[in-house]
Amino acid sequence: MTFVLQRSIRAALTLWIVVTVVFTATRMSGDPTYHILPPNTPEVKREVLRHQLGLDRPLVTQYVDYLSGLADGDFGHSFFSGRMVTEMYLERLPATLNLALPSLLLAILIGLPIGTIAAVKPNSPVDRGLMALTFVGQAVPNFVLGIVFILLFSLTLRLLPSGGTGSWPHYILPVLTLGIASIASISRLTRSSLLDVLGQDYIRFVRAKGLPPSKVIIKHALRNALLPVLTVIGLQVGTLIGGAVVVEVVFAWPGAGRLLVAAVMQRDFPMLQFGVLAVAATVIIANVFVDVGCGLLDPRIQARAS
Amino acid sequence: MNDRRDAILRVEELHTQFLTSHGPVHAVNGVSFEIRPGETLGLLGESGSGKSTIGLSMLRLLPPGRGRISGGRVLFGGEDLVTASEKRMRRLRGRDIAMIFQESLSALNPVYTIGEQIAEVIRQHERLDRRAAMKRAAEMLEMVGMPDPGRRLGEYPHELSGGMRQRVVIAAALACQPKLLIGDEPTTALDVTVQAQILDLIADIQHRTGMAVLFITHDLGVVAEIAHRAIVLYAGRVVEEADTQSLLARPRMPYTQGLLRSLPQFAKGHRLAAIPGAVPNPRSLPTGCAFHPRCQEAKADCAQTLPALTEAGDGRRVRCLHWHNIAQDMDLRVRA
Repeated sequence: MTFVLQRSIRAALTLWIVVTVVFTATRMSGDPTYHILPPNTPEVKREVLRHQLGLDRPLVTQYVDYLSGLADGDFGHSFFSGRMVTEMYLERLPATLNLALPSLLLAILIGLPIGTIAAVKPNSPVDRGLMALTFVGQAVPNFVLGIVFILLFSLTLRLLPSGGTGSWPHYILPVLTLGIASIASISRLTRSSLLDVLGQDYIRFVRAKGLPPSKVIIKHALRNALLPVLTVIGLQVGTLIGGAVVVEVVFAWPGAGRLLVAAVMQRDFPMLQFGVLAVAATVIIANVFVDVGCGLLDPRIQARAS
Repeated sequence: MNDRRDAILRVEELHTQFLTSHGPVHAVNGVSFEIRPGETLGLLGESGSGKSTIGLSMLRLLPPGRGRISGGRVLFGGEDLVTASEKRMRRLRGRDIAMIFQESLSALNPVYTIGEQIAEVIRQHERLDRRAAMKRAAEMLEMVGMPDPGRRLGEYPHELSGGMRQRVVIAAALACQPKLLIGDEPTTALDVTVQAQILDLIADIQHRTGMAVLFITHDLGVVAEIAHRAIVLYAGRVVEEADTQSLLARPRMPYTQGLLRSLPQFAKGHRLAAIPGAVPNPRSLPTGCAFHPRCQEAKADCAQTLPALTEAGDGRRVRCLHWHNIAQDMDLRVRA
């Protein structure tokens, strides 16, 4: 019980820090009225708009107002459309999840086997080949990868659409682009974690008991090796939702990421604040799942928690 | 001891090497010995003497890609384990030959219950369902002196003390009633009192089951306590073999004598004397007798000729060019 309480307090604290940093950063970014009104609007009209948006009040007042709004579940209205930011964000969220979740699934389903195969025969040609590939996958930024994919598969080979949504082929390039870095980091971590576990004394004892390699690796080694991998999978949730912002722009994907990019460009403070808050909350929730998963994998963690 | 019974295990001229970035390193150089049923053989050596490598070689558990057996035979019931298939080795491991290791505290997988870890070896080698295997696991726990075995089955390794964990390891190793138990310093990481309990336990089980035990250790005291016969290793070679009584009373090889003199319980009123120098690097062994640079009795020819392992009467074997002369000396010195 104290464990849950501790985690909740820490989560609330994290969210508060995120909210404060974003609030401060947006206010330092400039005057939104220059983006909302035409360039040569008289200063009086700007003054009126600032007053309407509440931007003419002292920063501390704005901040306290914002926080008390959050406490009531009021996340504010967009400076541009005047609609509730929650409504606008939730409209676009499914498209982002349609991108991020398949990427995560792909990363786990491909990353774990790659890492396992590499670790079973370390320094073999197979291991070296796979690790060279993952190295490239980790090193190339996803906007470069996306553009290369479009050039190759859409413009040259004309196999897949270069952007937009509709049928399932539209998913292939964006999901791959978004997922490759995660495949790479999950497989590299699985490999090193598994190699570490395979060198443990209990693995030697399991071999001395006469168990076949499949049981030694899958039953005994992998379950122990998964602990750090699970933690990284949790972190990937944040990376994927963050990475979706870029990939959505490259592939003209109508998700929440593009909404945030637009909010940055237009200095739509309430929209931006809510978007970052939503991503932070997602990461925190993902980490709760990771903690539960680690507890299921390792009885020592349950013992420490209770 | 019953010398007439046939040996259950015979190691002949075993050579094992490790591949390193500087080329192969010869860890074991032509080691031969045998063990009979019901017998405990002590394999005595300092770290780096090749004693653990011999144990791992016998079960073919050398680190893959780095260690390999480069010669010799390991005959178990007439079958050569060096050339046996990996599948055949898996049948033997845990069922006919069990091995327990020095790292008793980390020898159990932290994420499985101890019941599961004992039952899995039973189910691997015998056609038993889960419940029957668990029942046998509980019996094994009782045999190794675990209080309340039924409840302990569901506990995890981190919930047990070091001595209890080593008892679980022994229970798992002996669950299929192996004919040979190889113990690689199984008591070294334990407190002295717990160590004595575990040695008693192994001796007791051996008495009941008639299994053979190969006990690998650096500790002469442990050999004195548990072994019927002992082999002394130096730089990957057997340098002396004798029954434990004679070895401790009248060591022939200067190295064994040095080991004895460096221990309080054997020095008998003499000053403790450490052997000068250090174990040679297996990459560049000294010429002739590998021990000659540290040997107080060394003569000129010791650096030239590698002495053969010679019969020294009463089933003893000694690897020393001058053992005949030296042996007399040591006897006199110990008696004086």
